Amino acid sequence: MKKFLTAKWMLLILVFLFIIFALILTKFNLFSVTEGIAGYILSPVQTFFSESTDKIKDFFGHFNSIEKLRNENKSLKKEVTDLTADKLKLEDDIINSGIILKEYEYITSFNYNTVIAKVISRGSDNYLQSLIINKGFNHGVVIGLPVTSDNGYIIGKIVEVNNYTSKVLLLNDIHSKISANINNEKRSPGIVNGEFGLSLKLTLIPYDHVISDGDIVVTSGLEKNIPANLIIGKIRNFIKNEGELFQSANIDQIINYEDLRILTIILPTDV
Amino acid sequence: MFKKIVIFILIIILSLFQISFLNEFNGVLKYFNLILILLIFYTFLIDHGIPLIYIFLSGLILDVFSLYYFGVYTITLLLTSLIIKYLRKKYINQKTYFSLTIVTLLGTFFYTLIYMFAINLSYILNLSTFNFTININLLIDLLFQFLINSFVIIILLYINNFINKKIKLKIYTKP
Repeated sequence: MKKFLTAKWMLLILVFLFIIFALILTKFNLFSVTEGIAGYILSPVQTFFSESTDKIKDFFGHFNSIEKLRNENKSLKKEVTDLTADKLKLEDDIINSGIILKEYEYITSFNYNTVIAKVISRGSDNYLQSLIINKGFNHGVVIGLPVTSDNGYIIGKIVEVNNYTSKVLLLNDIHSKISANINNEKRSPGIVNGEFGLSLKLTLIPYDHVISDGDIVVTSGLEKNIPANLIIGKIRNFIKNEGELFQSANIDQIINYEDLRILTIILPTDV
Repeated sequence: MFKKIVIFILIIILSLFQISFLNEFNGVLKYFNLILILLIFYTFLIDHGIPLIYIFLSGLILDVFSLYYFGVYTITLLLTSLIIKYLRKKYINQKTYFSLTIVTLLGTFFYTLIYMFAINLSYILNLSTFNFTININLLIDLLFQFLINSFVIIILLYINNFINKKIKLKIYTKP
């Protein structure tokens, strides 16, 4: 019996049987229950390891922070000067334009249903930018919901849900795509794509639209369950080549995707 | 029985350590695949290899917290173990540091190859929405993984040679 079990071809048969078994279970969607239970049981250990990482990062980060703070202070002073000029211009626009006032009323009247979630860990995949959070079906979470951080900055979408946990695909992942608009005069449309976990790129911007560095990129609201005007980032530089139908632009991520701990999931309004 | 339970718990903790701790870091630690390192190390060192159930368990835990199709990590680890066992028996007869480095290189290569194949196969069969693209970053990652894995395995060997009197490796064998 032992020889039978340790035979070389036994391993191949077991692998083959496992594949068939996995296919059957996936077909009848039976894995999600098991995954959910396993995730719920293992989440305290994961949280412990994840929080330990934070403490280690904080300890070593202190030595880098002084120089970083100095540089940040310098750039913020410059930004304040620029913003003061913009503020004066905007005040004029607000007084003169009824459309902007109506937009403001629309945004503030839109009350989102939200649920707060904690990041348990990153996913086990090195080549996917994903997070695992501690909210699932039982909290009203479904696939496709937007996930935000720091007051309305969208950072990803829910791609998998179990009873107690969910998986979030970050916007900077290569498989991530989201419909967006630039907050300029023409509300230029485009698609935001992730770039190998490093950055974001806005593509398919109409060629004749004028865009400039610093323009805010927001969600367009065209996707189901993703409301409009969730901030994605700022245009850093745009790429416009002669003879092409569209232009594209690189986007600065305002939020650091490495430091995400507490997230907000925006629930559908009909829930 | 108690030893087996301890090993089971240790495998769960190590898998969670891989996912929740090592994956959080950038830089060099990003390439540190603890499960693969231990798989290569023990499959090489122990004549009959690691029991199937341990590889299966660590693969299952990685699959639970993965966005890819369920079973990718389990199948990848099982097949990698099979390949390393085959290479050990057929081609690499001597247990030396040099042969272990070769096994590490081949193990890392085959692990990535099977991983890539399993993900893309599940994508083609419409079982998953994620595929795996080959690009220059992947090749750089593969190189760094091999370097990190080799470095850690050599350290493990030194520790093994210090602790374990029964199984010791030489740097090389004279022809």
